[in-house]
Amino acid sequence: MKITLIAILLSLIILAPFSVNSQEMSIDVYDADGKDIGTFKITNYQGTQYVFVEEISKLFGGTRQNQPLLGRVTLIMKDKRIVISLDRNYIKLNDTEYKLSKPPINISGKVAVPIDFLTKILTRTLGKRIVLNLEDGTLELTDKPFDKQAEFEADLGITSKAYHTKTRIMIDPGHGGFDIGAKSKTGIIEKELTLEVALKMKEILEAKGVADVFLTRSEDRYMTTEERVNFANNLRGNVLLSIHFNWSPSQNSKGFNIYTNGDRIRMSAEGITVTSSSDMFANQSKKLAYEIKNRLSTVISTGGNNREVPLAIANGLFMPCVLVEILYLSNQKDLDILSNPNFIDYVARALSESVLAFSGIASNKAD
Amino acid sequence: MVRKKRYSFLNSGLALLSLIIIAITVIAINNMLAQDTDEVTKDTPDENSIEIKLYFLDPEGNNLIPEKRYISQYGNITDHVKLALLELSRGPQTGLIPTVPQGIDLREVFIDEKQCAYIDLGRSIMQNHNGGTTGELLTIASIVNTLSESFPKNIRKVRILIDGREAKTLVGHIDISKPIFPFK
Repeated sequence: MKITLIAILLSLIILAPFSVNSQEMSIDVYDADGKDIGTFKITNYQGTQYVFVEEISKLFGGTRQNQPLLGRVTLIMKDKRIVISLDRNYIKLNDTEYKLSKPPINISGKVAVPIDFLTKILTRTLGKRIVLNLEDGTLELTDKPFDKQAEFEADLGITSKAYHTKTRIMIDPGHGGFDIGAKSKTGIIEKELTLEVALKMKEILEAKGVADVFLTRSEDRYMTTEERVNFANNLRGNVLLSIHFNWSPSQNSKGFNIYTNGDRIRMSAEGITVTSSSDMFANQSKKLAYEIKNRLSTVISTGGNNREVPLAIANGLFMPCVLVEILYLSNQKDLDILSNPNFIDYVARALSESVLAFSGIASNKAD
Repeated sequence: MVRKKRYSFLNSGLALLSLIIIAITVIAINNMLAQDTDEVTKDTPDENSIEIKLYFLDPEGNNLIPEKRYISQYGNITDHVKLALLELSRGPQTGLIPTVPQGIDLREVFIDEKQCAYIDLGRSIMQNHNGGTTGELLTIASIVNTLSESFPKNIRKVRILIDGREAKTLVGHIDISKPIFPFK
């Protein structure tokens, strides 16, 4: 027993220096459709993370010319020419030079570049946005431009404002048909409450006459999330609000919750700023969440946390969107609040004003 | 008279004997069953067990908390994953709150070379789920955290399939069409 322990300790001591030098992690690469297109390695060398040019070139379909005498590698990728010179901080992409955090180096005979190569050079070469998540070990390519709706619409050759003079508000009452949603012990059904709130909002907003309002469903029928997304996209909505009532296995959870879409919080690596979400509408959605929190908290005193989660309704949706869970049908205090006959009216009013404020339309509070 | 008495004596003797036999069988079966479940999970570790962490909700409803369980090391990684998921759906043994509907219909499990665990569940999980974004998030997070924390060398992310197909969502709120990473 003692001998084995000593042997293990000894081998650890012997192996330790080697393991420090070979800190590697594997990164999975996904294209815009979520298709897995391969992996590459990130190697940690003297505190900086590097990727091998050879791997990147193979993965993204480039051809490589090594010029060892000149101490450089030339990559031809997507008809663009990238010149990587060893020990030089600058990388040439066609005629423009971009500065990297560290110069390229030679690790065991292979040319390696610091990982900001991906977000500075590769993204420009491919013409795609790169979301690198070191914590999860993933790299996603997306066709969507950065957080600018105008840029995106220009790409599509449309401007929603040119088509429609009024803001187009999409209201999505959750669940419906055989999908009843959550249910309280007392028999209150989510799909009915969501529709009630949505119909009330439509009434309030249309009375103001400042926006066009569309409901994904106006009666009790089942809809998949894809159908809801297609509906809102086809109508070129400017914003979507999905209305839900919550349920938790814990009877103590209470109050309202606001959800915006986000894959997860992404960490930033050395020298790289990584965006927090691949959702181009993330910032606008958060703005709507903020407006809702401000107004709904005057109706419901508890809750109001804004959480970023992967939302099904935001998958493929071309507009800012928020999912609001108004109350917990699993909590008695929330059910008491719900029993107030004016509650739905108050909530619909608070939500309508939030959407108008978000859309830049001043709402007339005296009405 | 004498004959009759002998019969009844014989009868009662037979009845007694069969009762004893039944009792012995019941005890034996019980013991076998007890041994069986003993082999599946244990509360205390021994040299043949692997520690797994099942994530359940704390009574306040704020956090997912791991509950340790020990499973037999025999079998391969997919066997261990199946066992962990069945235990998760069986619920907590302490004062925690279950987060996965009881009796999930676990159809298949496989793990690809990218350390992604594919969990194929029957449609019943959609029907047995009580709904709510909170409820749905907790179910998904419990599954993903349980697998990634119990088998950190083998699983980094989880993909949930329904009836062998890619699904957009479990109960209408959370996007499960892509691999899901542990929630922290």
